[in-house]
Amino acid sequence: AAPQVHSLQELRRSASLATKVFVQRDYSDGTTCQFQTKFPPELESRIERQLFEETVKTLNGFYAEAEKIGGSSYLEGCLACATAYFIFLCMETHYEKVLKKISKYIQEQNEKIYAPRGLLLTDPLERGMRVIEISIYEDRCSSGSSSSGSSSSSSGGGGAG
Amino acid sequence: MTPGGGSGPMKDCEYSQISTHSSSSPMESPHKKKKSAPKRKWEVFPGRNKFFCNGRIMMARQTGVFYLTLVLILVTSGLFFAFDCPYLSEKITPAIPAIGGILFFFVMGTLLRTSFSDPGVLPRATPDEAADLERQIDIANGSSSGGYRPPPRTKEVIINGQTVKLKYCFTCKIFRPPRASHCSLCDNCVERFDHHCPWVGNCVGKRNYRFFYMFILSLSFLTVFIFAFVITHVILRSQQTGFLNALKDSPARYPFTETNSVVCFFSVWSIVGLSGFHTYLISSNQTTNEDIKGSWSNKRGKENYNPYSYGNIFTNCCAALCGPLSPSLIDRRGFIQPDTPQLAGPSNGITMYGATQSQSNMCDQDQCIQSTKFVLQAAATPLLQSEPSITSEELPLPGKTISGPCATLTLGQPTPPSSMPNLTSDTGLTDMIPLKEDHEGHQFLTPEEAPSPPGMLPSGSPITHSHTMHVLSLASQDSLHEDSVRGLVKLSSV
Repeated sequence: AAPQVHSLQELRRSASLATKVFVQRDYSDGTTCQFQTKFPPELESRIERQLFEETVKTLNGFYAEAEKIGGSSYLEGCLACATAYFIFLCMETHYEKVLKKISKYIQEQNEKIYAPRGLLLTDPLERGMRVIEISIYEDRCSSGSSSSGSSSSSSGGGGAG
Repeated sequence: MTPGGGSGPMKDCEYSQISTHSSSSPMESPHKKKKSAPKRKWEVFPGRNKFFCNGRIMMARQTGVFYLTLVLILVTSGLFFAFDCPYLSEKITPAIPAIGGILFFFVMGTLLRTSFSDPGVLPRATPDEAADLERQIDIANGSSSGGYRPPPRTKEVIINGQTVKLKYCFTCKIFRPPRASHCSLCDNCVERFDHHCPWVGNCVGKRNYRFFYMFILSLSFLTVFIFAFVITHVILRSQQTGFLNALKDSPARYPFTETNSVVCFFSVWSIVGLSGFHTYLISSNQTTNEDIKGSWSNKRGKENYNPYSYGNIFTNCCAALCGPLSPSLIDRRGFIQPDTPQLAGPSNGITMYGATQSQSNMCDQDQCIQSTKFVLQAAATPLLQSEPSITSEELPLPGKTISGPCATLTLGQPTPPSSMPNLTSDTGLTDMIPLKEDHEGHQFLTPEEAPSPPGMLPSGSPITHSHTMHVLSLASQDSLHEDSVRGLVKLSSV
C-alpha cells in the first residue's frame, strides 16, 4: 500500500499506536555507538528505504562525532583533570553538545518525514542508547474490523482506567 | 476525514496552535488525575542504589566502607597538617604543606566524583523492547518446537576480527553491550564494567573509571608524601634530641605520629600496588573484569587478542583518561508522568523485580512520547489512554500460567555466576568476607521479593486481560500464546 499521508491534526484525532519497531545497535566496530542500517520489514509499506537509511546514517555520524578521540577531546580531558574535575560542574561537555544537536535533528526528522507517514522516532538517549524506537501508528478508521475493534476497546479501557 | 492535501495552509495554522497548547496539556492531564507532586525517576529506580540530594548523588547500597575511607584519609591528612607541617614548614620549607594541601584537595575531589557519579548504568528495557527481543529470540530458536531446551541467550558479534559473545541479562532484559557486566551488588548492568569497589562505595565503570584512576594515583602520591615527611620529621627531631627520646617525646607532644606512620606504611604498599595494576590495565585497554577472567590473554589461544586496544600504550592511556565523557543514561532527576503507571501497574507487576521497575518502564514509555517535542505531543495525547491496554497485550503473562516465584528463580539464577568476577576483582584486598555475605544476602533476597509482584495482580485483571485478548489482532494473540508456552518452558527448566 502507498504510504498514507497524515496531517498532524489527523494523527492526533485518528491515530492509535499499532506497533513499535526497534533498530538495534551495531557492535561490529567495538563499543562505539552505532545503529544497524538494516531496513526493518515492518516499515516496508510506510517509508522509503533511502529516507530511513539516511536518518540512521546521519545519527551514526553524530554519535561518531560525539565519541571522537582527538585534539579537542584531549584538551577537554586534560583541563578537567587539572581542575580535579570540578570544571564539570559548570561546563557542558562536547558529548552533551552533540546530543543536543541529535535531539534537534530527530525532532526535525519527525516533523518533516516521519509524522506525515504515521511514524514516530524516539531519541535513543531515552532508551539507554540501546535502540532507535520507531512507533507505527494506524488510522483508527482504516484497515478492517480488527483495528477498529482494538481502538474502541482500548479507548473504552482508557476511559474506565 | 479531511484529506491531508486539501488543508495545506490550514494545516500550518493548526500546527502552530498545537504547539502552543500542547506544552501545557500533557502536564495538565496527569495532575487532574493525581494531585500528588510528580515523582522523579530516581525515586523509582529499579537498581539497588542509594540517592542523595534529590537524585544528584548516586551510590551503592553498602556505604560503610566508603565512610571508613573518608575517615582514614581525613584523619591521616588532618594529623599530618596539624602536627607535622608546622615543624616541617619551619625547618625545611612552607612548600610542604602547600603541596600536601593540593594533593589532599585532588584526592578528595576525585574520590567524591568517583563515589557520587553514575558509573555508566544501563537503564532496563522498556516492556515493548523486552517483548520485541523475546520474539526475536524465539524466532531465532524456532519456537515451533515449543521445546524443552532453554533458549541460548547469547549473540555473537565480530569486533575487529575477534568473536565476542553478547550475553542476555535476565534482570535488565537486554543484550549486554560488549564489555558491560551486571553488578550483583547494585543490581545494574554497567557499561565497561571494571569492578565494584566497596572503598569507594560504588561500581567503577565507563563513566567514572578515570576519576577512580586519578583518585588512586593521587592517593598514592599523598600517602607516599605523608609517609616520607612523617619519617623526615622523626629523623630531624631525633637529630636534635636522640632517636629514642624523639620517640618517647612524640606520644606526649605529637601523639599520633606513630599511628600515622603505621597507617601510611600499609596504605602505601596496597595503594601504590593498585595504581600500578590499573596503569597496566589502562595501557592495555582492559577492564579488571576482563583481566581476572583472562578474556584476552594468550593462554586462551594464539589467535586471542584484545579487540578494543588501539595498539599502542599512549593512545590507550589517552583514550581512557582524556576521551569524551558520555552523559548518564538514567536521567535520575527527570520527572515521571504519574498518569500511566496506575493503569499499567497490575499487568506490569508480573515483571519480576517489583512494581517500581514496572512503573519506571511504563513511565519511560510515556516519557518517550512526551519528550518527542511539542509537535508530536499533541498526537500522543490520546495515546496516553490507549497505550496501557496495548502494552498489557504485549507483555508476557507468566503469572497466568505458572506461579510467580518459580519463574523468578529461573530468572534470578543467571545473575550469580556473573557476580563472581565482581567479588574476586574487588580492590578491597581485605574485604572479601563482607562482600560474600552481601552476595549471599542478595541471593536470598530474590526469592523473597518474588511473591510480591505476582501478588499485586488483582483478581479482576485476568478478566480484563481476557477481554482485551478477544479484540486483539491475530498477531498479538499469537505472541500471547507464545508467551504462555514460554512460561511453561521456564517452569519446566527450573
